[in-house]
Amino acid sequence: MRAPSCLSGTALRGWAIAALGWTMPLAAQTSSTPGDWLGRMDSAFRQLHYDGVFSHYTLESAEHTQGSAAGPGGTARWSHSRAGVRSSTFRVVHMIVDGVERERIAYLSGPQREILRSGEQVTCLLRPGDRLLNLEGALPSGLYGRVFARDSVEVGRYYEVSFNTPGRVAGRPVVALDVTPRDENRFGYKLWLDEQTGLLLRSELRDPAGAKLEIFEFKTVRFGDAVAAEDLRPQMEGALIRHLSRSADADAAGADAEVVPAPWRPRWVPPGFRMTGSDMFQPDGRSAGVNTLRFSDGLAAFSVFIEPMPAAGAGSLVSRAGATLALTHLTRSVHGDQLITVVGEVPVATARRIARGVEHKDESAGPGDAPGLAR
Amino acid sequence: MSQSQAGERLRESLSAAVDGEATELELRRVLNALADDGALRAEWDRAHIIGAAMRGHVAPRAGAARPWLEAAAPPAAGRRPHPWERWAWPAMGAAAAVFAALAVVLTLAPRDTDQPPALAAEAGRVSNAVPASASGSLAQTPSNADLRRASSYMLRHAHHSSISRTGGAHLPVGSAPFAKVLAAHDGAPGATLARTAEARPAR
Repeated sequence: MRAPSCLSGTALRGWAIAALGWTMPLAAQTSSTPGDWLGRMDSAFRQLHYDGVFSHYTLESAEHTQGSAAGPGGTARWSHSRAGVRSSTFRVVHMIVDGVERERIAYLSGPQREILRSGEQVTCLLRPGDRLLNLEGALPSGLYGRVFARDSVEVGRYYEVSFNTPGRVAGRPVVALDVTPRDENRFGYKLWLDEQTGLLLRSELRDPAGAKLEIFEFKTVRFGDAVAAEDLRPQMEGALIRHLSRSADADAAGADAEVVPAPWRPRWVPPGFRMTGSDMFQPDGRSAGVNTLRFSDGLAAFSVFIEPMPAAGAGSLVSRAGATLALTHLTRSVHGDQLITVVGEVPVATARRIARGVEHKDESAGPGDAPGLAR
Repeated sequence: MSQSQAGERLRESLSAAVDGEATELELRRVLNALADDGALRAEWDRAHIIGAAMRGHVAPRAGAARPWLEAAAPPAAGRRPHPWERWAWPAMGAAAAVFAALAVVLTLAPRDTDQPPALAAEAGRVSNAVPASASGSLAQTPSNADLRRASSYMLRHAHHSSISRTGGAHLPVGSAPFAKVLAAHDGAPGATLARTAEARPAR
């Protein structure tokens, strides 16, 4: 905060600050650059008291190749099947109670569900017969399990962050930010942050052509004293309770610590993407393990799944749910045919190029060929 | 108050809530009603799809002077034109709003898949290592097993992205993994994907 230097005396300066406080939004006093706003958004998610209704829209589409995608000189033709928008609406109540972060998320559309979080502890309330019960592994543990990358310098190398025209979302004035990728290997974002609190009220994820792939938007929201602790209490009764002991952060500590060296790796990943983890898992009913490699550029992430070609064969697939793409590729190798599946928030061409470059470490020309892994 | 009057009032409140103009009382009324009224939830969803279409462009705040912001960010002069500016919907009537919603569904289609893969040159190179023989290629049509596999991998990816401290923010912001993971389980395994794959739709 810049206090006018021409004013002398603590009292006078205090008055000046108070006066500015009346005329300028709180956030404006502490944040001035787009990067500052991103940092503010990050902490707002976790520290503020808020109660609101938000919707999430994802564009869904699927295509598959109508010819040999990899044949010599073969032209791949693409078939567009129907694309649709899926939307879900939720209510979120978030508070810090006795120093503990507490959150309740209730589904307002689709099956009746509630997710309750208290610090590290997450409980999911479901109706008997809910398909979520079949879910292996942990459920997501909160609305904002993870937000913007901490390393804004690194992000700045691959994205340009700038202000756009301010507007209004959920009845509140917002500051608008554009996060524009500097190359065609990643998606861009448009963000609208509450002018007063820094909370993200709307975001759009866009492909390089400007098409919106995902929209997140608060419809209504209130802050501070308007948020009541009683609204953290579950409202479903007679529900089946599923208790989850691990929080996202507790899980993350374990997941990051364990990096299993994989014999496969992509020869090429887009600049700025680094490997953040790898593991091997055994899907139900299958004898062969699946190697997983995970990469991120600080904002976007993709995973590469590598497994021996299933005996029953596999199909060529390009499918998208929102910004998340899944794409399959077959790699032939002296180590046997491998089915490669790239899943992540990257454009199709990028995912395809990554998938095509996957090779066994014995076959790679040298470590210098895998820039994403070298660092 | 009669039931129809109550219903009418509820719809007004809902409309206000969608527009972000509901009073606290109205909001509570809507939230309570949404919890146990399927028809109202459907209406809520419809209203929001239309709303999202209309708000493809967030209108600037009229008459708000913001020297502090302008000082921080030099206005439009040096700014690159953004594709979304093409989307600035003028104010329209209700019928037009429905049309706008449809238009959004159409224009949201991922355009990069309209074009042949940009890596045709590379395809030639890769094909040296991958002879296009019948035994060594992927089936042209994904099976239900393929769709289930892809769906479960998407889930794994979303889960890891949401928990990893180093694994990327996965914008739109935080909610994405959450909403995605949950959306993926609104149908049978693979149904999310199969629904849009034309060749072999899951039952």
